[in-house]
Order: sequence, then structure tokens, then C-alpha cells
Amino acid sequence: MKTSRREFIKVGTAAVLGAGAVTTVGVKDAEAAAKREFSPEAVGMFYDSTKCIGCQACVISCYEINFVNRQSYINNVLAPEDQNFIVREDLIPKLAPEDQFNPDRPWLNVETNDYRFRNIIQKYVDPEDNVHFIKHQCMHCNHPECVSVCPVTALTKDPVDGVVEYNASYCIGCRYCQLACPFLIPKYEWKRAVPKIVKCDMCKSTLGANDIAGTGCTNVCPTGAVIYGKRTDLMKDAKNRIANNPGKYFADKVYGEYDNGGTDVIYLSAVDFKYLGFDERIQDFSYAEVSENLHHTIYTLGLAPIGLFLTLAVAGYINGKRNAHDTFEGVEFEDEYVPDTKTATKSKEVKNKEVKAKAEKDKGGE
Amino acid sequence: MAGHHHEYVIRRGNIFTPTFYVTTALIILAVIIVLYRYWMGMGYITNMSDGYPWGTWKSVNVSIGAAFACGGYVLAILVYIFNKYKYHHMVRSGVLVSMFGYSLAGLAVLIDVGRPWNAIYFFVPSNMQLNSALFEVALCVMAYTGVTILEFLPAVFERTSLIEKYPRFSAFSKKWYHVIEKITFLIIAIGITLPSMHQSSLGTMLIATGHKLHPLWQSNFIPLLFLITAFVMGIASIILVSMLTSKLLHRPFEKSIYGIAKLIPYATIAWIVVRIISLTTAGAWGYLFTSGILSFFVILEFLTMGIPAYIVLRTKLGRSKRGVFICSSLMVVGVCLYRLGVYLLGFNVEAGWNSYFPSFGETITTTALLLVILWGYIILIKLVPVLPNLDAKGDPRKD
Ligand code: SF4
Ligand code: SF4
Ligand code: SF4
Repeated sequence: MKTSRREFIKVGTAAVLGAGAVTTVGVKDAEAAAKREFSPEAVGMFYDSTKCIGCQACVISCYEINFVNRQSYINNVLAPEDQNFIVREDLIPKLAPEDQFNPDRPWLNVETNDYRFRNIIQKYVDPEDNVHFIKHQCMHCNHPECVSVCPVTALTKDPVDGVVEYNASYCIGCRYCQLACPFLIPKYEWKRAVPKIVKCDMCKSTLGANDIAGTGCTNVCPTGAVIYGKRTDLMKDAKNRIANNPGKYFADKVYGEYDNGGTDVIYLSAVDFKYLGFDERIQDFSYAEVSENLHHTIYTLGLAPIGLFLTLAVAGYINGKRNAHDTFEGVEFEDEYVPDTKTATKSKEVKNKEVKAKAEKDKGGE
Repeated sequence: MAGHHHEYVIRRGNIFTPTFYVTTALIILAVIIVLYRYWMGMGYITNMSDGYPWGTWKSVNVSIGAAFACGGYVLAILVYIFNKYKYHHMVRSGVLVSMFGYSLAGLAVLIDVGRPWNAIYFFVPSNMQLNSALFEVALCVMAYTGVTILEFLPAVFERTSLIEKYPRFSAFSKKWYHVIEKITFLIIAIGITLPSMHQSSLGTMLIATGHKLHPLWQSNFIPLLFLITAFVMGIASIILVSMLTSKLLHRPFEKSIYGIAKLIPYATIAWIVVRIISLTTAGAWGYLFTSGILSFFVILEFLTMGIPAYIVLRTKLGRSKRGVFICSSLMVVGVCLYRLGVYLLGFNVEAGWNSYFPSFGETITTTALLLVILWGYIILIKLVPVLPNLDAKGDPRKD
């Protein structure tokens, strides 16, 4: 009996150690993260900060197409049989008071993207008093964190044109995409009973996916600061501008070429991008790679959990047989143990009961 | 079988105690707040923002609540896998806390997510997103909640089988009691596998946030550290639940917890070692004294984990009631700090974003969700046999 007991303890130890080992192996493998290739057909946008005059026509255009009149635009894009379903899920409810047009303050005071503005222009004044503008919207990352973390595939990256799209009819509203996006892009309708995530989808849901339609923001830009096209073409363009204007652009860097694993939207600027709202801590790889690798090593094969389960089942079965105990049948429930008055204080209930019993007895005696 | 003592007892006593009324009142208040949140939108009652999209519902109710519910998990491993049947009499109270802990974590998620009806897509194959740690956590937590209910059902059936008024119901209870008893080993195996998976994945979730999580916490070792904290918290929870029950209900002190307390150094030292490795691989030692309040939190983590190990290993205090109580309380603080650190304190969005502090509504609902665990515990121990049957010395009664 004694030796076999030890055996069981060994089984248990092996099971626990196994689980630990698998986790550690996962940690190791994650370091060898693989890079993902861009689709040759990927579309994107190219924003040259030095050309932007800060007119914010793009902001208003996007606001008009994707927020105020979204419903009618969606209906133009969709086949009639799809219209009702999608529209019901993607409806813009009655505008909240703060969203309505205010004739006293016709200009909307926008500081950051929110559920109304998928795209904004921010201003940075450098120490020499030069003004720089920057346009912020979804970067359409090549290995997007938001898609990687969404548990129900409400966010997807189109394998051909690379657009990262959102489908409200799947979304559970967990906001994990917001937590994970390094550019802080997905926004949430906090003050709605039926909230959605809102982010730029290159106007695919409103203008449709084709080169001719372009996007709301690129179509209206008066200076061509932001343009739409295939990523490969845009990248060539950006490299040419750098080559033709030595010293004009910061560090001759095309932002988005490698940042966060590469993005479909690329930027040029005259100043360091950290002043333009891009976090310095953003790496050359996407954290989606790291977490996916780690997670896959542990689970995709399903071996670790299945192995663990089987070991546990066997150990539990053997131990259970060894320690078979009586079942309850035929056993009366006892009152709970009442401590001795000398060694412990009585529980209140017990005391009360006793007092009552005594009182009743006294009554009966009279 | 004359003279046979049952392993568990029903606590005799009135359910409607002052504690019951206070907790119930708070729970009702929370229900009103939650209804308001469903009616108006969660922005009206929470302080979460686009920069801090996860608040106390996830960081406290899910991440810490699920850790506190690990008592059942630790006991199942000890008893059924390591063959320590001498702790068998504690299993039911462990499972009861697990059952409520996990159900309430699940409920917190339902309150937290904006479109809970879409949760059906967790079960639609084309929508399952295997890359997402949250997908796995969600499925495992749902499944494990079911498993804890299965694990707890025998206690209920024991009680219902004694209801003589409805003989068919009583026969039904007896029958199913035996069915569950027969497959206990399978239930237990699932019940250990699932927490081993999702407790680590609770940590994996935050790896994808990359630079937003402070380097003092961001590391590839988060999953392993979360798994270890599950053990640490599980041990502390077994001890605290038993001690507080004994104290508050004037029951004899349960001696077996000294045995459980022997595990404290293993778990806490394992945590400290892995935490040191994680800080080293992340190259974060430089931040340890330079990050203001965050440094303080990390140092406190080490202290709250290190002191219990020291007390149990090196001092006499470790073999006293007081010592065990102090150790467990410190461990609870340590685990809460670490898990909060990963979910909230170390979450470090770039400048210009509002920081987060829970609102009144969040505080009330978070507290109420935790109190439901206590509420369920004090009710169920008076209805079904959960508490161990102890003799005056605090040893479980045997035949
Ligand atoms: S910028 Fe953010 S929201 Fe856009 S694709 Fe990248 S991770 Fe997703
Ligand atoms: S909030 Fe919606 S889109 Fe974002 S991760 Fe959750 S389910 Fe996916
Ligand atoms: S591409 Fe469309 S959705 Fe995106 S910022 Fe431009 S106008 Fe807005």
C-alpha cells in the first residue's frame, strides 16, 4: 500500500510538471516569431504631412459619409437582399444632443478619434514655430492586433486588399480590440445601450471596394496630401519623394514600412513621428505575432490539454478506487457539533434554542 | 453502519442573519445599477474610456475573482491526483467557493460586454477565433462553471434525497448521486484541465497589448505567472475560507489547514523565481526603482509573496493559527497586486489619455458581485451538507 501510494504521488507530480514544461516551451518558441507577407493587391493610403494644410476636409467628408449619412451610403453599396439585415445592425441611432449640429458652434471641436470621427487631423507646433499636421485613422496593419484578439471574428483582414473591417453583427462588445490596438484606433459607443466599435474601414462599407470610388478622405483632399492606391505603388511614390528631396523628410523614414509589422497606410513627415502621436514604443513587429505564437505552441495541437486530461483521468480513477468511501444512504444527518461550554463559546443560535427549550420546559412545569 | 459519522454536515441555523440582509441590500442596489447600464449604456455608470477600455469588472471580478475561486482546483489536485484523501472533507466548501467565484466572473463579463447576445458566436465554428486568448478563456470559464456545478451537485442530491414528501424526487436524487459519483474521476480530470488552461490564458490575454503594458509586467512569462498565482490564491483561499468559517460560526478550528499551509512556500517561491526570470528576460530591472508608484507595487508583490514563505519555513509563527492567517492574507494581497498590475496598474497608455479610476457604479457592482460569493456561501452551507464534520479537536470524524 505504501509503495503504491508513492506511485500515485508520482503520477500527480508528472502531470503538473508536464503542464509547466509545455508552458515554458511555449515561451521559448514565441521568440522565433514569423513575419507575415503583404498581399500584392493590398490597398492603402499615403499621407505626406508636408503637403497637408490642415483644412480638415477629410474629417468632414468621413464624418458625413460614415456617420451622418451612413445609412443611405450603406444601402447604395449593398445588394437589396442584404440591406435590411446589415442596416439594422449598423444603424446610426438618433444623434445624441452633443452630436447634433449646433449653429452657435458650427465647427465640431475634435481632439481625438471617437465614435463619430474615424479620422482626425492633429496639429503639432515645433520649437521653431513651424506647424505640422498629422492625420490619424486605422493603419490597416499587416498583422493587426485587433483582428488577432477578437474572439468572435468580428474584425477581419481581407486577404486580398488588406482592409481591416468590422462586422457589428458578430461583435460581443468586449473591447479587447481597443485594449490591443497599439495606435488606439477602435472606438466604442460608450453611451449607447447597443454599442458598436467604430473604426476606419477604407470606406468599404459605405463607398464599396474599388479603386475608382477611392475613399471619403482621399477624394476631397485639395492638396493631395493623402492619396489612395495600391500599397506597392504608394510605397514607390514615397521612396521617390524621399530620393528627390534629400533632407526634407525625417530620417528618410516611411512610417508604416515596418512599424508594428508593417501597415497598409504609410506616412512621410518632416519631424520625428513621436511628436505626431505615434508612440515611440511601437516595435518593428506586431505583438499579435508574439501572443499568437505563444498561444499556438500551447494549444493549437490540442496535445497539451488532451494529454493533461488523460493523465489526470487515470490518476483520478486509480486514486478514487483506492479511496472508495461510503455513500450517504441510510445515514442520518447529525446536528452540527456543539462545542462544550467549558472549551468553547456556544454559537448564538444554539444558545437561543436552549434558552427557548428551557423556557418551554418551565412553562410546561407550571 | 451504526455509529457512522457523515463526512459533511449541514449548518443548523437561521439563514436570515444581519449579514444576509446587508449583502442582499447591496446586491439589490447593484442590480438597479446594472439595469440602468443595460437601459442607457455603460458610459453612464463607468469611468472606462477608449484609452482604458477594461475596468474593474474584468480586472477585479474576472481576473481576481477567478483566482480566489481556485480553492476547488487546488483541493481537487491534492485529493484526487496526489491522493491526499485526508483533505477530502474540505473539498465541498472549496468547490462551493469555486462555483460561485466562476459564475460571478461569468456574470461580470455579461455585464461588461456591450453586445452579450452575440455571445452565441462563440459556438459558431466559422466565428471561432483560435488566435484569441479571450476566446479560449471564455469557453473554458463557461465549461468550468458547468463542471463546478456538477462537482457540487452530489451535495445537493444528498439533501434532496431525504425529502420524504416527494418520493420520486428523492429517488431521482439518489439515482443521479450515484451516476455522478461513478464519473467523478472524469469530472475531476476536466475540472483540473480547464483551470490549468484558462488561468494561464487569463495572463496571455495581456501579451497582445504590447508596449501598453509597463515593462515591469509585460513578459512572455505572464501565462506561467498567472498559473502559479492561481495556486497561491487557491491555497490562501482554502485557508481563509476555513478559518473565517470556524471563527465566525463558532466551529472548531480545522486542523487540516496546517497541512495545506505546508504548500505555501512551494507556491510562493515558485512565483518569486519565475517573476525574477520574467523581469530579467524583459530587461526590466532598471525600472524597479525608477517607476514611482509602480515600483512600489512590484516591490510589495515580492514582499507579500516572500514573507509568507519565510514565516512558514523559518519561524514558529508558521505553525500557529495567527501565522497561517497572516500568511494567507499576505498571499491574497500579493496575488491581487500582481493580477491588478497586469490588468490595470501597469496599463500604461501614451500620455494624453485619461487615466482610470473606478466610478461609484463600478465600485458598487464590483463589490456586490464579490459579495454574492459570500451570500451564496452563507446560504448554501445552511441548506446542504458542505462544511466538514469535525470533532472538538478539529479533526474530521471518521467511523
Ligand atoms: S491600427 Fe489598430 S485597429 Fe487598425 S488594423 Fe492596426 S491594430 Fe487594427
Ligand atoms: S469589441 Fe467586438 S470587435 Fe472588438 S474584440 Fe470584442 S468582439 Fe471583437
Ligand atoms: S478611408 Fe474612409 S473611413 Fe477611413 S478615414 Fe478615410 S473617409 Fe474615413
